Amino acid sequence: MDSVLVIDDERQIRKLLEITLTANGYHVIEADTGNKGIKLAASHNPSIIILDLGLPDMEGIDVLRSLREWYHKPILILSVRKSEEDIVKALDFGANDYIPKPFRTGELLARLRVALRNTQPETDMSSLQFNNLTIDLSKHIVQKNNEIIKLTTTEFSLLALMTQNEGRVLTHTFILKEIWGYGYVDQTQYLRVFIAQLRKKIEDNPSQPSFIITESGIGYRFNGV
Amino acid sequence: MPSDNTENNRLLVAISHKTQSINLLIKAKQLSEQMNAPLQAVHIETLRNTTETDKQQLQRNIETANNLGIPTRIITDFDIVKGIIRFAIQEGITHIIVGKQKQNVLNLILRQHSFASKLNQLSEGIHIYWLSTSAKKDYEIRPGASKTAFSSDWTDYVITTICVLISIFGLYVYKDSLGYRAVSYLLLLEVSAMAFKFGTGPVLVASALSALFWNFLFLPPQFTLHIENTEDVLMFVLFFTIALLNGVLTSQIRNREFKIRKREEITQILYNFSKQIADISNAENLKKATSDVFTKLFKCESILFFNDDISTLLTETMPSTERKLALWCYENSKVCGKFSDHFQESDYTYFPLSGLQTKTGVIGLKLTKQLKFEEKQHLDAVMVQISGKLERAIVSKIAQKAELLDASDRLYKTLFNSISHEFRIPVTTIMGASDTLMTENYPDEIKFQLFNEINIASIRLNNLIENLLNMSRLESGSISVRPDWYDVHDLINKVKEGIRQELDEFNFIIEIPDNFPLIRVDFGLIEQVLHNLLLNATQYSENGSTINLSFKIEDMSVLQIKVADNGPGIPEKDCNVVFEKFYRAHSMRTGGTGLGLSIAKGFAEAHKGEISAYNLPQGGACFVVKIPTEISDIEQLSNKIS
Repeated sequence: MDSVLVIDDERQIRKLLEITLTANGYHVIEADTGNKGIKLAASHNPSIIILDLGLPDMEGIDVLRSLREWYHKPILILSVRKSEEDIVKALDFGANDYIPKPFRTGELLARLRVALRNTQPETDMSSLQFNNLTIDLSKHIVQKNNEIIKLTTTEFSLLALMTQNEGRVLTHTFILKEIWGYGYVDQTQYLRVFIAQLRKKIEDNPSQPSFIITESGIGYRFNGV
Repeated sequence: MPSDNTENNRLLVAISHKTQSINLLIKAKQLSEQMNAPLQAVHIETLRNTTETDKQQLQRNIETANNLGIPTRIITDFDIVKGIIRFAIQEGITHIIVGKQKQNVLNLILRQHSFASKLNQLSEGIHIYWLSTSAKKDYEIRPGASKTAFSSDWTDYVITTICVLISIFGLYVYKDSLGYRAVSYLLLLEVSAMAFKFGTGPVLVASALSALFWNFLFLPPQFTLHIENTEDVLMFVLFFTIALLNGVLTSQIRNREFKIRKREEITQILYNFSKQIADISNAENLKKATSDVFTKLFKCESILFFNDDISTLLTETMPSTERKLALWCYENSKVCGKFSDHFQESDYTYFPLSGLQTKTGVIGLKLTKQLKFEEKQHLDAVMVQISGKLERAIVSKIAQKAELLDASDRLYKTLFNSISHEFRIPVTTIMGASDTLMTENYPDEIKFQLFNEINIASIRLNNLIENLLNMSRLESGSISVRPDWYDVHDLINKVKEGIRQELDEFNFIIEIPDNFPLIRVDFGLIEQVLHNLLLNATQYSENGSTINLSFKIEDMSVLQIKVADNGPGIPEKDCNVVFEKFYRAHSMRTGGTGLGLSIAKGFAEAHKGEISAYNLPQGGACFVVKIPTEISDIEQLSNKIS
């Protein structure tokens, strides 16, 4: 059974999470302060941590940083702040995903599953299949409805990066850094153009994409299901 | 003593530049109280030259009058008596109070007599009281009381003397053809002419010289001062007298004219200043105008501190001692600094400015010499103007503040009423539905409906909170625009996701031209604008009607978003007020805070854009948002970088 550590100061949220998660077969550990959370994480070594950014005793981002020094399993950020800046910061500091408050429990559970799945080593990473889309990473071939789609090198790298992190939000900075390099982290314009082109090629309806989902102000998420 | 008909009594006290005037004022005040009649004071300024000490004493006398609450006027006249009477008639005075001086009985009799006789000539029915003012004799010696008449420059004496000598020399050459009488007329003419240019002194010297030389060189027997002919003696005396009269009178007229001109100049400066400051609306200009007027009046530097400045006075660039003095002046409402009773070592003299009710500021003047009596009056005139201006500004600021407070108070009340009501509805739903679910075991279908109600209520609560947060962000001015490149499709998808439930009831049509460029905007702000406009459309249209959302780029630099619905439209008179806080038209649905459109407008404006509303000819309301943006053609860019 996977164990989940919930670090949140609001009792009602913890209660809701406890009920929902227990009902879905997780073992729930609770902490109401950052310090307690860090201690519990060390003593219980949970499979995943759900961390609220607004804590009474210390900044959520500092809890994240100190956890990341030794804790390598997924951390989900729960944030009431609408500020994209905080979320991007948390993701860049090593959080795996974020869920804005108020959240739908269905969405939370889906994110939880994705995060846990991503930690398990893939059996065969050379070929990926999403609905009608097949990607052969070793041969650099992408097929849609069994027809080969021509992609430029950059487009392929972008698609490969996103599909390998399926279900997980990737920040603009992260994608730009991975594909173009450190010098291009501010060129969101490039990213928009390539995403628009990629969507035209792989999406059934590019203006209402089903694969490449925009997380406004934060980044993109590849939705494989 | 007091007349029987006391109702219409008006008293006038005449004050001079003598110390006794203070006693006179006090006695006059007592009299006016006894008679229960209004009292005024007047000082007649004659053309007689007065000394500085006189002026200072006069200033003190006038101040005393003011302190006693006696309104004081200063008027100019050649004759004190005439002046007083003229003023008395003008003001409808019934009793004139004049000081009686004991030291000179003859003078007293003469003056009393002349005053009374003049008064009788000019007016009837005005009573005159001679009040004894002081037992102490006025031994004050007033040196050089009419000094300036002879105070001409020594060069004037030299010039007039040379002129006389030259003309005598010229006339001497032609004396045979002219005859000594004609010479006398010519010399007389010359002396008279000199009076226009020179003061009394030089003219007197010139006339004496002319007379002597005429007598010596021209009048037979020549080269003696002896005059043979009786006619010539008369001629000599006349010559001397005419020259003297001419000179003195002309110089007196010139003196008067000079005074009048000077006064006119100053009146003009003061008039211009008052006209100028009437139009001034900012602090810098007022400071400049003030500094200009003091340069013109006293040729000195000046600084002006307002009420607002006083707190920042300590951070100004002037030396700290000066700052302290200015502050002292403001706090104590007393003149201080150079030439004053306090802190004379300073470079500046500070004068407090005060309006009717408030202290308004301080003026500092870098004076080189002590202000004369008239100058003090001019300064007062300027200060009254400035403090009046400042007080008006302060009063209007206070009024504005009060109005703002009032508005925010009303806002608070409306907010409270509207919001608490809005909160109650979804909370009631959640409480009721969850309670039902807990107590009874209903079939799954009903359970689902109740859960759905709870869900909808919670979404509504969330929207409400979102609106309130956005409103407070707007009100606090803490919105910062962070533009980045976005695809409008992403924008629409995000908005649609947020209000999917509401939009599902409608025929929602989106129009975006092909190859729509990337736009550079703040995603969050524009998303909220769109969200609120679309939600508003769903609130005011019937289910199943069409809501149209269209995007367009104008002039390559403006993003235009149009939201059109098929509802009843906006009441014609309300097109301008729909964006006001808490405005709500009659809605198809209950709920709503009346904040949505106001937030949309606030966010559009934060993005330097604008928003407008009108009714469509075919029916329905249309909202247009225009946001300035950079655009970037996707095709072009992709060709460039791939």
